[in-house]
Amino acid sequence: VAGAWIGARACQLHTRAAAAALAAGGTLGPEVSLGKVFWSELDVALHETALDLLGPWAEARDGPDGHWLEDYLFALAGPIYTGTNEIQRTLIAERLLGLSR
Amino acid sequence: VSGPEFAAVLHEMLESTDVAGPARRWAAGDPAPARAMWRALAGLGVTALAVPEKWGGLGASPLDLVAACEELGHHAVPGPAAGELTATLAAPPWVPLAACAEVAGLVLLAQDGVVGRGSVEATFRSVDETRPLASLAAPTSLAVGVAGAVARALDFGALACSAQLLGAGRALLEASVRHARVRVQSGRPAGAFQAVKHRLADVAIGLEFARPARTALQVHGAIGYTAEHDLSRFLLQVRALVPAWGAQAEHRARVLREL
Repeated sequence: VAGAWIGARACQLHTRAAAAALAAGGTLGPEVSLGKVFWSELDVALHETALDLLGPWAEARDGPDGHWLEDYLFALAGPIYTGTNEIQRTLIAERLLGLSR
Repeated sequence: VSGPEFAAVLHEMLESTDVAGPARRWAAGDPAPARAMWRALAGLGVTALAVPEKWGGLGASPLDLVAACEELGHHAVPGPAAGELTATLAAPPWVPLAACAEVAGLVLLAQDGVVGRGSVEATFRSVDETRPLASLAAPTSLAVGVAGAVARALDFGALACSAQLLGAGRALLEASVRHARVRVQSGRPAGAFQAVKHRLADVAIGLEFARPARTALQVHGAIGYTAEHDLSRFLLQVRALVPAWGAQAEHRARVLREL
């Protein structure tokens, strides 16, 4: 749970920095891929932690804390949409780190 | 007949059976085709495996049960093992909810060493639509002082559930490898990319040491996320079975106590 909180805080700071750079007239570059990979994987891990805590109730869609399951199923799509994380990692390696194609 | 031989027969039968159709019909509210499929499986002896010979069962070893349950998971066969009488069980705190009580002829509640007929208190939808859940209340007592037997039943439940998950993991890896071979991306099969190869190799390693993995969806990409693709049946069943028969934290704590 502490790991999820730290990750969420890091995500918040990263996004604020990008927003501040935009507000100062800057443009977004390949570094946005870092945030996409980090956030989407955090989103899945965070929901998996919640389901672990729910124990046997984790599988009940309409149980007392069923929203964690619904949101987990949605989080699963995160590493796939707006460019899969495999594509994003390739972009990070080639455009940010300058590795050859 | 040995466990692996029985599993091979079961695999052949399920390979030529439409498992997805009955599962989808059940998810839509009609359990009849799934029941018919289960009668066929019972005819093969699946439900008699764990029953001692003196009561007309096969008296098979836990090993045979594991081999059979792994095959059931390999084909994502929905629902409970059901012959003439379907029984389901809740045993709080590890198993607070009974699965498939609405299709069961015998609904049992085991609590504080007492086993009795349970009455459905409230129902819940599982992430796996073929596992409708129910909390049970106020049982009429059938047997008292049977804590040992209940503990043994829970051990067998956890063992059979683990075998099912292992089989489902094998099916997910097979489907992912098939998909990675045929899906072409940037002029090459997706499986030719090192990133995809490494993830699938990690699943193969994980399966060998019986650890669950969540790579199949990523390798399939968006198509795997749709309810229409058969992958979802496996993914949702795995998600439902992982916390069933005792959550991971409970089992880890138990291992730790034994250390």
